[in-house]
Amino acid sequence: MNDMIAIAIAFKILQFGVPWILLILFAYMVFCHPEKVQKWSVLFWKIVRYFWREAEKYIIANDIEGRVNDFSKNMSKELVNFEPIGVQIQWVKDGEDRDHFFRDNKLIIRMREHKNQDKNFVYASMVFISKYVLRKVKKYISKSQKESIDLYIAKRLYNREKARVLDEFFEDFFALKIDANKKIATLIEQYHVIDKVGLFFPALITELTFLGEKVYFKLKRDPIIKEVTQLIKYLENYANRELGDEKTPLVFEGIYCRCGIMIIAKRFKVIQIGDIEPYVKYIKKLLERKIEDIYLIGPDYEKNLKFIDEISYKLQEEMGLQKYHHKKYKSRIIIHGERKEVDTCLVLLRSREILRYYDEEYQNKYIEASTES
Amino acid sequence: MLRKTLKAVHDDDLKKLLQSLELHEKIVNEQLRCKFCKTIITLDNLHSIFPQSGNIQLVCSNPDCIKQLYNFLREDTDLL
Repeated sequence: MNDMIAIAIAFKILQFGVPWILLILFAYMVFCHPEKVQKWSVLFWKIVRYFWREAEKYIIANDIEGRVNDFSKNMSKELVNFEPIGVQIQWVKDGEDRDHFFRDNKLIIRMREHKNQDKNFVYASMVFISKYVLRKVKKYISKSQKESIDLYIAKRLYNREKARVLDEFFEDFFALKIDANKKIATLIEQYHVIDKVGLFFPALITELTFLGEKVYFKLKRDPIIKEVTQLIKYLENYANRELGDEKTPLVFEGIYCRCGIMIIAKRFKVIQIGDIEPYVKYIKKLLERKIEDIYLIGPDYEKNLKFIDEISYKLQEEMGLQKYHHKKYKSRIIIHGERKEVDTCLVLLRSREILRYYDEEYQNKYIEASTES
Repeated sequence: MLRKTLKAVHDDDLKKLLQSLELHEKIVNEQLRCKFCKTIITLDNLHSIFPQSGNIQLVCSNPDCIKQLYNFLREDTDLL
């Protein structure tokens, strides 16, 4: 309510001598990008703070909400099936006694004066990331896998911030965890490598999200955790692949995760021959092997994009695949022993024949056999 | 965007909150300890509080304890 009052006051102030176009722009930002307006409003509240002590809380709340919610919104651009979740700081009210505290049953986190805002931000956002970010992804995986994902996501968030925030995070969390826990250190290193080729969110987190959407009769965690370890290794191997290498496996055929990467990059095949049939035929064979997710990846230049689109369209038409995601990004791939940045395109196609419920019969047949081996 | 609430108390209101929760005197008298590391809780090192099985648990600002809190929250609790 008080935010709305502040916005109304700001609007009224702007009305005097400000062209209408700017007012419309301001209204657009408030309704379509409230998290950015919140970030900017911190400056306003810092001025008000000189006259009104209570503005302290608006500085802290708007700063944390603005930054975390902006990050969450950006994550939704990188992931499929991801509904961004934001945070809202609720200050403890005057009537908070023991009865109310127990009835409410909520954690209360302490926020220090806004001069310690970097610490406030790191601590509040870590709570939020641990509990709410990528819940589906963290549903069935191991403790180290969950912690490492949270740390890596947090690192991504703080990378966008001032150096002081990153220092705070590194000092209090990241470095300590890496030093204390080898498993977490190894996992984070693997994510870092996978991220170099731009596949941390669009491939790894996406596959883990799909995994989190499946339902299991009498869930058995160990085989899932083992398979997630193998999936991470598969993507790490792909990320360390040298350009032109045809030995690194591009297909992952697990019990729960079944995905394949199709690289579309050979210029003579794309430009001179221009025949999509060999690619389509190969992908059809993958679908016969029950591969659920196909990642078409290739350099982002006009003829290649057109080629990828043609393959994608043909597979959607003939095999009923669904186009889930289309993304352009920078990828750092290995060319002659060195990582070089290339403009890359990714299209994710998903089979309609996805196994969503693992019943008792299936688990007895495939999962027991796999755990015995 | 769906928003999840994070309850917070500012330093300016901390004493008042602790008094209404009947914790202030105990903290000043160094009678309360961190849930995770058992260090004595002071007004300076208090990081967060939460209810658990009819008791009020306190967490100190030691990064290891804060990490343990996050692990605790990550499991299926309704504390947020």
